[in-house]
Amino acid sequence: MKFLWDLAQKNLSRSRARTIVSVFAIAIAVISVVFLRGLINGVLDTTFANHIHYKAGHIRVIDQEYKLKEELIPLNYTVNGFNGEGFKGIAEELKQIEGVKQILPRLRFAALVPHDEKLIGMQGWGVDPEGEIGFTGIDKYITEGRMVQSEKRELVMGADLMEKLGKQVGDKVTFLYNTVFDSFRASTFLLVGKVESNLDFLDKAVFFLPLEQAQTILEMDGEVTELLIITPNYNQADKILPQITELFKIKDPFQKYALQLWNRDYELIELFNFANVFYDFIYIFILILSCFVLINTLIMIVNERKREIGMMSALGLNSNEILSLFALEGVIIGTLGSAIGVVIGGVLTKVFSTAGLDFSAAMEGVSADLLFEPMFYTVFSMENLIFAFLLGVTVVTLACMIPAGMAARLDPVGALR
Amino acid sequence: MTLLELKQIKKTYLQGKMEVPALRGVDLIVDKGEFITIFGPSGSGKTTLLNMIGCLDTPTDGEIYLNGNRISALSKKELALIRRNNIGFIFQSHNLIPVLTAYENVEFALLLIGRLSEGETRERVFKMLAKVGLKGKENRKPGELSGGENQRVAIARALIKEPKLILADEPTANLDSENALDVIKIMTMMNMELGNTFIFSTHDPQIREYARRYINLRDGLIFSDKKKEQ
Repeated sequence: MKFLWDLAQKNLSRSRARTIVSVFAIAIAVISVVFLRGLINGVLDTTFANHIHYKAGHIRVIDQEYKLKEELIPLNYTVNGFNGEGFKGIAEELKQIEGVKQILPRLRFAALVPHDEKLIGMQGWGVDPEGEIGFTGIDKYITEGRMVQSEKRELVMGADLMEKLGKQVGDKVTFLYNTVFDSFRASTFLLVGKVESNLDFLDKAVFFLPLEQAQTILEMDGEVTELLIITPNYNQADKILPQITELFKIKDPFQKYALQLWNRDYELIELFNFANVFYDFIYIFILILSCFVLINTLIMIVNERKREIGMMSALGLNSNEILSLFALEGVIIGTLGSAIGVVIGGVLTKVFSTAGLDFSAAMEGVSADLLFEPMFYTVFSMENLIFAFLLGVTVVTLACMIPAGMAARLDPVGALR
Repeated sequence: MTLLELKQIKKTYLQGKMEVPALRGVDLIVDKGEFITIFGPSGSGKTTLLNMIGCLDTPTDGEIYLNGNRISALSKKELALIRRNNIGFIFQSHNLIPVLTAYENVEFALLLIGRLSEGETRERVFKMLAKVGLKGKENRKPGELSGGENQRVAIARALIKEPKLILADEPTANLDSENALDVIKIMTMMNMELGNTFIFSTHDPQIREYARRYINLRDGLIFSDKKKEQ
């Protein structure tokens, strides 16, 4: 076979322009696959991270009724312990389970701030400041001032919301809300920090305050709307779910609480996971399109070398060897193209993993609740490069079997005529 | 000693729905070391007969024996193996591989068999190219050689594996008379020196004179089969 390999390599120099065009057709397809996959992985990673940080945790404990009415942010369906002893009881039990790293309580409520004779709607999040910093790294987005401190009557607010209200760090903010007993009240807090994240949701609609303060003003001592369970690795959160389910089966026999894994029970995330399978078909389709150039080139080569194929057949090459010769030519082109594509695609992916792509204009009008960021960053990974290279070589190898098969099936007498 | 035996070989081609007979029952016995020319008008079946003998095509009817082995009913793969080990071809146009040098084109036929070491291969190829008058031109590609020189490379390629049988279909048709004579002289010399059996077709009476046996083919049948008087 070595002589066939040597001959296949030499044959590629017969028409350099044609070989180069074929190589670059494959390379462009592989670049597209590397970049697209890097971009999609980037968008998914960021969206998943935002979803986990600001919505789901790795596993979320909520009241069954809260699950149904979450859009309304009700205060009547809370997490308040297995026997009404307060959320800390559940938190302590959960911490005993191996693989549970952190329990993060949140108390979300609807609030209004009067401004220019209008009422501006927003969400207040009562949080454990230290825990929140440790999990979401929210402090990195505080561009002015600082994060709230436990038990103090202070809040941090999204930059766009501050601008809308005409407030600055150091100002006092009075907001209106309903307590758990439906009493309409107002409270005034000191604005100590400005949040500037890439998320419209956080910047335009949320303010954070210490959990104890939120519980006090809402008259919800020991209660939260949700408990987020954090594990060392979100991809392995499902492995500890059975133990947590077991605990709740024993301690919560009437099933007051629902357990939600970050990638289940959320339609958007399930859609993304389904889309990932669909994207794989798109990558293959892109490569198949580029293979048409290669197939066309190889068919031309087979037609041009008919007499030569006849001669080789006369010399004693059997059809498998002739097939191998032409397939090798295709595989060399495919391998070269895939290698070039992986290098260029890798460089582009690396560059845009820090520079990012600004989709702000395209994201106008997209619901802020979707936790999409307007800057898309690609993800550079060796896995992506290896995937694109192997996919390129495999698809090209299969594609060039068509012209190689044509060559192998040629009747030697007809070919020599 | 019999090398080749053809018994009532018939070949019919289909042209649309019409059957066109190319060979209509050819009987032929060829001994080892013979130097045979097949001649006849266009369409008489020369190329078809050579294709049958060369295992490139199979007969519609009849039997072919090479070295006593029946080859007319073998599979494509088995026929390829017989061609590889036993038969050398020289074509009207040299059909060399343009990206290979003269040396590599000749070496290609030997590599297919794969029985020799690198050193033995090298020695044998250089020797063969020298025999056909191409010493010093081993590294030239077909584009850098004349038509006659290319045909000599093709002869060297056919002979390098020391086949029992060499078939040449109009080997001098594309050459000028001087080169044509050179080529037939080389073929004669190789036949005498190596003892291989040569069967070639030609339209050229001058070239035909070099053969020692003349087979005249007409309408798919052997019209005459004469040996040169010594």
